Amino acid sequence: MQTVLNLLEAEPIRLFLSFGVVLFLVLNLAAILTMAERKASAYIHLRYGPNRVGPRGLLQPAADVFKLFTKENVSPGRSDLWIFLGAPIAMFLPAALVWMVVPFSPDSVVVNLNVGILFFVAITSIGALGVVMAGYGSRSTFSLLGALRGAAQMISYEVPLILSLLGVVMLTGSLSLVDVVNAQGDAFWTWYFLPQLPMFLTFYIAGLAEVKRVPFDLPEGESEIVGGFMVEYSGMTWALIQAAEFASMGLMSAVSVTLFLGGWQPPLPFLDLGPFNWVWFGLKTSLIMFTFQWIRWSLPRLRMDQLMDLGWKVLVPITLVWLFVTAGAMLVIPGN
Amino acid sequence: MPQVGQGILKGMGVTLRHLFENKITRQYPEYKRNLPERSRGMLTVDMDRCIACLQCMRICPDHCISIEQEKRDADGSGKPKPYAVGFVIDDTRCMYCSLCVEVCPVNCIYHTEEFEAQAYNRLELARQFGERPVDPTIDPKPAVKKKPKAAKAAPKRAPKKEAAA
Repeated sequence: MQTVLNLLEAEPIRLFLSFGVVLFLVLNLAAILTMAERKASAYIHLRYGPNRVGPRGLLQPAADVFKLFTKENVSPGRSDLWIFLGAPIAMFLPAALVWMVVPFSPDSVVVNLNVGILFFVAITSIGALGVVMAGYGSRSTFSLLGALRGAAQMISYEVPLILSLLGVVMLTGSLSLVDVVNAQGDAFWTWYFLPQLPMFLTFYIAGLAEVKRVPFDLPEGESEIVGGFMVEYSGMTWALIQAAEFASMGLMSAVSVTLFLGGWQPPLPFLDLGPFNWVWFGLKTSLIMFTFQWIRWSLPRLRMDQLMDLGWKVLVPITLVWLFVTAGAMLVIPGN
Repeated sequence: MPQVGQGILKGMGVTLRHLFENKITRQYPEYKRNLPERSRGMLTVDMDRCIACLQCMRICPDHCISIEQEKRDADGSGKPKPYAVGFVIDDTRCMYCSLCVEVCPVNCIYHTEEFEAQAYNRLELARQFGERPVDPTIDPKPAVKKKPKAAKAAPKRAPKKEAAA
């Protein structure tokens, strides 16, 4: 028994196993989020939402997945098939890979990279490639429009997203996400969202734009370009795009919790659950994910020029100013 | 400047309030609301009262009623009267116009409160009422034959010519 455990602890096997577990969790998270999304939207609209399949409709995601598996995968006749089929993978892989560096609790992290934040920034940028591939490979006008919008939006909002991380990096002095969480302490007033409030809001808004959710869902824009880059997808490829969207939404929530809301740290010192501190991480992440959904069903979509204005004329200056404020405060206040 | 974001917060407040309010969806198969008094459901026929006058069949704009009629001495009076041995209402065609109900002289065809007309086969929706099933696929009222144009036009023109002469 012990030898088997030791074998599982050995390096390449441990990495693959834990990444497999994380991948499993991410896929389930995507399925659960589709359900949560439909329930949240229904409750906000004074409806009940899905409540037929299984107890209280909880098996609806399973039914959806089964249905999508049985559907034929249709591709447009003159599409670039390799790019068309590669796009969902190029969208899902980055969303799943970044979960490797997100610490669930002090010991539960697939790899504690010392450049975790850099890894997060680098890999999430690949998501834009998936959108462009989907739009280009579909050979459809709406798809291409959606992909162009997506590329413009995701590359623009990458800038405030990265700038808003720098304050945390300066305060921590480390790029490792585990170090960032450890530096935040086990009480909510020591977490970074208070000294870095403008940065947190910027990260939140830019993250919302980065995962293409309402009010920044211009690449999808179902009321004007009927689904944008995913117009031509059906069956499992469409399901994979949806899984990527929801996985990256969960990822953005998890990373904002890790960076600004203290990760696995309990909100008050006496609430420390020891090895079960991942409960706090889960609760905080669920809260942020709920706010994502809440915003989705409350706010209308921005126009393209408003989107660009918000990104370049509001968010980037805010982050730059607060970067200087943070740097100045670190010089003036001793002990930091 | 102080107004920035106020609209967003207001809207978010409204949606948050709705999240906890009572839901207004009616769960249909479990909960069925009462239909309005004069609602038109699927048709049904009281065959005991039917006098096989064929008026409903003739007035139906969708040709959905077919009646097979024969003379029969049903009441033992010695005089054979028209009797409907076959009566079919094809609900795949019925458009609930209620013309047959209005025209029936003995009020034997009327709407029920049934409106859930669904079946795996279209022929299942053709409901038989008589002793003998009638084939609902045969059109009871073939389309009105168009008279030849010349024959129609000739008598009209003739009186005019006479009047002119």
